[in-house]
Amino acid sequence: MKLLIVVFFFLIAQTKLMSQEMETMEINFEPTFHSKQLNLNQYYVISKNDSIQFTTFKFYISNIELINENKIVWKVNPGFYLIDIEDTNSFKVKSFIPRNLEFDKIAFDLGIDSLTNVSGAIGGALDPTKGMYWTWQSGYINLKLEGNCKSSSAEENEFVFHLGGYQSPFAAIQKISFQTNKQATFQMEVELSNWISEIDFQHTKSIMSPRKEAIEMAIKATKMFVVK
Amino acid sequence: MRYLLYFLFLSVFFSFFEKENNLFYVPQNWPKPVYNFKNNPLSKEKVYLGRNLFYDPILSRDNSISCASCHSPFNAFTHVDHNLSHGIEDRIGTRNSPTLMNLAWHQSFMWDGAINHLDMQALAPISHRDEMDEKIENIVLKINQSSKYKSLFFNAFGDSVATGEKTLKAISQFMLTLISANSKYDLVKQHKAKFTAQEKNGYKLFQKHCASCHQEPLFTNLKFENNGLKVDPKLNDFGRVKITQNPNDSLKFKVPTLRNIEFSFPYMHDGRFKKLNQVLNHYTSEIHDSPTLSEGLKKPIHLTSNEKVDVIAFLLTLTDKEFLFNPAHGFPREK
Repeated sequence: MKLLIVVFFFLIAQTKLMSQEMETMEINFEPTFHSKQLNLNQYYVISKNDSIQFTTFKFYISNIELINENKIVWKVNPGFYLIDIEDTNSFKVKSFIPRNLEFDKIAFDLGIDSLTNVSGAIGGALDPTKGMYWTWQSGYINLKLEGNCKSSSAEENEFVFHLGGYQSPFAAIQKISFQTNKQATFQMEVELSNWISEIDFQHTKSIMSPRKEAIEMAIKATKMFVVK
Repeated sequence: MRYLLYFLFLSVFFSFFEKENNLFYVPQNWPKPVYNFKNNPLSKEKVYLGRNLFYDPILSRDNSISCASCHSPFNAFTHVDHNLSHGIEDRIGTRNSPTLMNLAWHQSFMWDGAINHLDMQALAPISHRDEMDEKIENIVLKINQSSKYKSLFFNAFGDSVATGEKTLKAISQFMLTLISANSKYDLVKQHKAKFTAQEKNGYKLFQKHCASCHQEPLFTNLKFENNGLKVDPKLNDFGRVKITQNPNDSLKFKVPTLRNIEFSFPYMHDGRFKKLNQVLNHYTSEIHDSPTLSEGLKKPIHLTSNEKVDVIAFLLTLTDKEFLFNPAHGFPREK
């Protein structure tokens, strides 16, 4: 019992101490297309006779880590963020980090880790009402992109990419990292055209389950992320 | 004085966690459950909320079908009279609805193990076009418009606002309380009853021929096996391979429990057998060989017709009337 009291005091002291030394770190995701703000339902020209329109674009960012000289010095915890083009509030990812922390690299995952995928119902950004959970087979959808494109072979030129899968050999989560100077705010461009230019819409119009193609597509999608 | 206050605070805090409830228990000599209760500690109020949701057609698109429509308590929570599950607008699914009991011991759900956690299980029938054809988003909206659920959620979670997480966790809570461990077989194991000579012989034969897959005390090894059924060309269902994409999983389905088998007909993943003797005849003389056939079935099983009768006599000792007719599992009447 005494020990518990000591632990209790210790925890209070600890949180107080920590709160004094923390500062805010902000990552601002900016979805763009050809360097201009990305809007849903707007047509974008992608080649001489092809244009493209997006109807859904959302993805999970998780496990944000700060790294110094190849050592992880800070983990943002719990850190699951759903970035949804329809909700501009979601673009800003805020967290607290120690004030005097040195780091030279920032890393995060595009998607949800396997342990979280098998942990049952979770709230907040991971609530199954967010439309990012498969119902016919358990697992989070890491990244959703839907729209239409003249060259897509599907009916009415639609394309649907629901990329996910957590179990080997079809784990689709991707790690993304950038060298950086320490700063309080990062501008993270999400340049969708970097991904789109890698997709052959004539042959790939829909991926909606964990499989090899989903992983390949997720790797292509990582090219969207560019630190300004 | 200050210490005393902290002490009081802590003791209240811990007594809260220690509060024993009778909602869930691990029967004698059973393995440890796999469900993580820490993430979803059971309470009377949450179980009651889950029970209301389980029996409420609000979970289906046109408010016509509830979980209980295909999982009736008097049939060990499966669907009697239908070989394939029968959903919204009389649509017919492709598989036989499974029984619901002792789910805290299960790592995966559905005949092909598509679902990895009890909390997420309900999403599958809710969203399936041929079952409830609804979206969890809409269900949460409907629930949040209902005054009945406002108070049920408040009582359960201290917050009247429903979320997907809370809704699914409450349904889990109710399902976790569905423990069947009071059959004659269990009483015999506890030396409170005795098998008849016939049941005893049936038990011996069962242990020899069936128990490698239908392992005691759950009467399933919780694994996926190919039990030698020929593929129904109309359904073309190859089971677990669809989930893992591993050809070694072709034709494998989750081994079902045999508890309360007397009431859970029809049998097999597609409900092709109505009677237990058809099931036994399958295992003794209709095994369809294929590369993934279960080890235990590679050598033919021989049973005389008397022995089959004995095995069935044993299987009937797995009936748990207390479970089947437990009013706490039934439709929640107004309190």
